[in-house]
Amino acid sequence: MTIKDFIEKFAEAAEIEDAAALTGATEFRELDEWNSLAALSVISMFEEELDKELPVTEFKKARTIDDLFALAQ
Amino acid sequence: MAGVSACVPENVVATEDIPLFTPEEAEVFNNTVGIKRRHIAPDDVCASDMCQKAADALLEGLGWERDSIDVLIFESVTGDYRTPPTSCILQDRMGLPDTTFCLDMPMGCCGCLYAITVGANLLTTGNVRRALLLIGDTALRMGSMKDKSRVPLFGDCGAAIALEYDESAPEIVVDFHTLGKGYKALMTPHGGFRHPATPESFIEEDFGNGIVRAPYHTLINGMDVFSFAISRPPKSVAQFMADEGIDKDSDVDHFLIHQANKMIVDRVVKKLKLPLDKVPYNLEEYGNLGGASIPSLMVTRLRDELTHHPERLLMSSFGLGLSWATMSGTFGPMVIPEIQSI
Repeated sequence: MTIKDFIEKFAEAAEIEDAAALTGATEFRELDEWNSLAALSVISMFEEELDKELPVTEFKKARTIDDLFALAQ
Repeated sequence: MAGVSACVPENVVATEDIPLFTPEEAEVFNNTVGIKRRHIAPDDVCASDMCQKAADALLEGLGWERDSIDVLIFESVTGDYRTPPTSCILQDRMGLPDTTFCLDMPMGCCGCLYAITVGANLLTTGNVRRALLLIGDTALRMGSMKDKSRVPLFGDCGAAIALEYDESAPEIVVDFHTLGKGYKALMTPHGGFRHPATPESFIEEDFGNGIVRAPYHTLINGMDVFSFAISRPPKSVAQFMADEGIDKDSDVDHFLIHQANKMIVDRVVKKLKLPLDKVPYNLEEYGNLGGASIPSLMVTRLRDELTHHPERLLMSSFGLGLSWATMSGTFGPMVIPEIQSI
């Protein structure tokens, strides 16, 4: 999976309107759409689309989309 | 299983009435978490009171003499006192014989499946013939009323299940799992003997996002619980069905999924690709009832079916421990009194 594919999945899960503006360096917690529901949706996306149980402690440390992408590997 | 009953408090709290929410937040909560109302017990009503009322109605419906009860299991994390076991108090309050084998079990959301497993295994020996399983909690009162991550999720309920020794009864198949490593996701840090209650136990801390609680309060790490609940239980259900040769479309009439909240139940259903018309929900009306969730589904959503004919049920529950369990069997016809209120 490329970072581009991952950003697409992330944007869909977190319901980010301007997905085109996202890059690996985007600090996702600063996005307007980011809230606790978006966080749960991302956890769910890992489980359903990537078949990965997202380690919550690591998830809480993640700041950028690149950090999340690393957890998806 | 000869019968099942449930009792809820008369007091209903709508999401809009929870002071922690703005009207907009209440609407988002109703649409996503899906819990629109919950029945909340007044402070002088305990889980044992609701269970007792449910059990009284069930015994009457069954026509069982109290003298005929051999086993009383009280499954709850909100018993009357830290000691003695609430089951012993209930033996007296309910007028059960002094030969009753009483047992308390504090197993949380999987409590119903634990109680059925333990009770049914005792009956399997043939040495005891009738068991009453009382399953209930007043979970809201365990936590802080200023904890937005917890207050809106729970409702109060007491359920009763009657089991009877019957050599012709179809088998009940169970599968249990434990992930003790995750215990901190759902816990009450102070008040046990690892951390007895001290004055510090009651000092509230503001964790942000509307979460204010003290170490004496029960906490829920929502993200950990969510991540656990959408992954482990559905995997186990899938494995269970594969091992037992159960086809989800042709071998099961109803899937009873622990009603934690809509986000979790929907994802479990989606992951297992369950036929929606076979998955009853009652969380919108009652919230998360802990161990009483599954029996409450039987009383509130399957009463007609289970009263009149056998139904093939597959149950999945998950909760503190962390623990999760799957159970299948053919249940009914059985006695199900109308839902009681207190």
